[in-house]
Order: sequence, then C-alpha cells, then structure tokens
Amino acid sequence: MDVTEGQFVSVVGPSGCGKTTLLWSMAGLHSLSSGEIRLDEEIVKEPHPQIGMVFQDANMLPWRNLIKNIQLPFEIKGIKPDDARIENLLERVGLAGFGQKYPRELSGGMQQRASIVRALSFDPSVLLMDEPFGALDAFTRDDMNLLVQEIWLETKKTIVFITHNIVEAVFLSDRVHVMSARPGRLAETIDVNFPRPRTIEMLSDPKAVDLVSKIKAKIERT
Amino acid sequence: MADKYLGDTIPNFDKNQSNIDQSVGLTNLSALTSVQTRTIWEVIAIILFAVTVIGSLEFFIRFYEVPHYVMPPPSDIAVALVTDFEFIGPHLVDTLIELIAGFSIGASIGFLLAAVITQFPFAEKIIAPYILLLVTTPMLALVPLLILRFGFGYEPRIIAVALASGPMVMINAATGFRRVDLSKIALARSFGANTLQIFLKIRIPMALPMIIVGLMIGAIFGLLTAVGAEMVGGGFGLGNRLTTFSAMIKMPQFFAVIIILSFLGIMIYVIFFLIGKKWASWES
Repeated sequence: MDVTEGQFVSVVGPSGCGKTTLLWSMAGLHSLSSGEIRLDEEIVKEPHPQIGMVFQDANMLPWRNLIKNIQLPFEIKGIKPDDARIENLLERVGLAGFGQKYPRELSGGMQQRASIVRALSFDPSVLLMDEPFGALDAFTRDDMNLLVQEIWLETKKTIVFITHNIVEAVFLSDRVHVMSARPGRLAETIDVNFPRPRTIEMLSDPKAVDLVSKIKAKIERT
Repeated sequence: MADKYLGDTIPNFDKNQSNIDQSVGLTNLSALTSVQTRTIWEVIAIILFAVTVIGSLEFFIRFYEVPHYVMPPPSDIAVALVTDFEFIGPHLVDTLIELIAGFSIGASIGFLLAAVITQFPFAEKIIAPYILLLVTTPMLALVPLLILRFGFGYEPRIIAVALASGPMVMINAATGFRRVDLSKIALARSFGANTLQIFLKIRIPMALPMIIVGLMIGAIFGLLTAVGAEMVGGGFGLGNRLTTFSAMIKMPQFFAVIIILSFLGIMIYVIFFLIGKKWASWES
C-alpha cells in the first residue's frame, strides 16, 4: 500500500480483517511477521516522531487535565510544549478555555477533539486515525468529519484513516483501500475524486451514493 | 518492544472496560471517600449522639456502682487524660517514632518490591512465599527474638513495624500496578516512551488509589504492631503504658491510653483520606 505525501487515505473492511493491526504496525506499535513499513526511506519499526496517532477511544489520562494531557507527548519526548500551537489548535476544535477541565467533565466528542489536538500538537507529518469517531453519535460524527477535513486542508498532513463507516471514508478521502478478512489483505483500491471542500449534503449526490454502494459491495464480496 | 506487557496486543477499546474495573470494589477509594462533607445538622446530630452514649455510660456506671477496676466512668477517664498526660506524653512520642520510622522503611521497601514483581513476573514467583510468610506470621511472636538480637531499644519495634506494614503496602501497590490499562500504555508508547517513562507517567498514577489504600492499611497494622511490641517488649511506649497501668489497676489511665491510641488510628485514616482526595479522586 502506498500513501503519497499530503494524501488522505481511508482503510475500510469487515471486522477482524486487520485494519487496526495494519495501522498499529504503521505506528510502530505492532511487530510485523513479514514485509516492512517505510516512511520515506526510513523503516518504521517503533514509534516515529513524525507519526501521530488518534485512537478509537479518546484515551485521555483521567488524572490529568486537558492541557496536561495534551502536553504528555512533549514530556515524553523531552521537548518544550509548543504552547502557541496548542492554543491555536484548541481554538480551532472549539475547546478554547477548557484547558483546566478534567476528561470526566467533558463529553466523548470533546475528549476525542482533545485527543486530535494532542496528536497534532507536536506537528507530525503523518496522522494515523483508528476509527476515531466510532463511539460518537451521528451528528457529532458529521461535525468531526468536517473538522478533520478543515484541519487536513489547512495543514496538508498525510492522513491514514480507519473506519467502518463507508460514507465517512468517501467523505474524507482521496483514496479508499478495501481490506478483506481471512487472511487480512488489501483487496481493492478506489479513488474518490469529488472536489474539495466537501459538504455533508454532497453525500446525497447520486454519484456519491453510487460510490458508497460500490465499495459496500466490494466489502461484502470479499 | 520496550514494554513487554503491551507486546503485540491491541487493546480492546470497549467503553465498558472501565466499568468492569470499578466493579472490583478494592480498586477505587469508595471505602474511604464515601464520607461526604456534612451539613451542620448532621454534625449536631453526631455530637448529640456521642454525648448521649457517653452520658449514658457515665450514668449507668455510677448508678449501678460498676467497680472502677472493671470500667471507670468516662469522667474519670477524661480527668486522667488531662492530669496524667505529661506522664503519658513521652511514651506517645516513643510509639510515634517507632511507627513513623518502621512504616517509612516498610512502605518504601514494599513499594519497591511491588514495582519489581509487577515488572518481572519471575521475581514474583520467587518472592511470593516469603511475603506470604510475613503476612501470616504474627509479628508479635517475633518481637522477643528481635529483642534478643537487637536489645531493648527502638530497633526491635521499628523492625517489627516495618515487617508488619511492608507486606500490606506491597500487596496493595502490586494490585494497583497490575491494573494494566493497555490503551494508556499504547498511548505513551506512541509518543516514544520507554519502560521507565511508562512506569512513572502511566503505571504509578493509575496505581495511586490502591497504593494509598495500601499505605493506610499498612500504617494501621504498623500501629497495632508497635503497641503490641511494646506490650511484649516492655520498658517504654504506649503499649507498655497499657500493661503498666493495668498491672497497677489504674484503669482511668489505662483507658486514657486507649483513647489516645484510637485517636492515632483516626488520624492515620484522616491523613490518607485527605491524601486520597487530593491525588486519587479522579477515580470516583
């Protein structure tokens, strides 16, 4: 699987096909039995400073407030937190002023937004997102999708996005990879050529609906 | 993989996982933190109840002329507490010294051992039998031996306190460390954290509620052992005062010491309750 710099790529597939394992391997968190992951020319075998990850669960540390949670990567990497960038990001995702709050005081959507800020805070060139909006309700999900699109258009990061939701994949990506299960493998690659910025309404467009059905059929077939 | 507990496991991001955790009553502080701040009426009610109990005790003891060597009336105890405090005071200091010194040593070693055995499962298999031995042996039985070896000073008592409180701290801390939340560890790993960083930034904060419970239990055990060692070893300390006053049938003084000991126990509880509130309230 090849991902070009600045591309937004989704991976969809049935449960258990290995999408998450693939993403975790790309993050350097899972070992490979064969093959390799490369970022440019470098082989990725362990967590890479240029790769940021957003998990399925917001994964906030409950004993820290929002700001301290977002500063965690800097603490671990031993670099000074980029306060300006963090503040800017918090504002962009609508969490300005929530820095002192604890995760338990925030909704799931807000926590996930904070985790996106955390992943972007140290300015990695690649963002890996593992079904980040799966636990959210449909409306919040739409908002989050728009937010991700905004951020991607602005920052031009390379994003690999895992989701169960094909509509979401079509909305967000340049390219959708379909994985099949048993054994997990990349079955098909489908390009999504709708112009950007995309809107939620655009998903009702017959071409979009068609594409979603096509991808769904491919998943079912495999 | 820097952290062998994570290895190649991908955690299950089940929303219900934290609920499963909380159903294990030990792992949260509800036993300590269920004491809520009280309204003024509740305080008044509590005081009134205490006054009634103590008053009734006073009345019945005097009315039924219960012998004072069986149970002195509360008023006598109160008087003894005040007038004899200068004689009891130095012994209180002795007991506190033994408790604090012994507990510090025991708790530190217990904590370190807990960290070691949870990082290296093989170490646990080696150490576990000895810990079990320590926990199940009444420390008081060892005190005469300790006195034989270390003399009649503070040392045997401090050692006994350490041996009694250490295992408690260790067991609870180890339980706390074992609450592995793979997703949090994966989070730290994704930023490039090494094993030490994961231990300091993830494992310890996560284990803190259990550690605090362990410290409290260890301190109480330590206090009991200090008093017991003093009763067996003799010479000085509140436990020694208990045996002395009882032998001299100075029962008001005897019960005065009991009250002081209860107060110490309550202080231990309050201290760790407050610590828990500050450092571990995220869990409730």
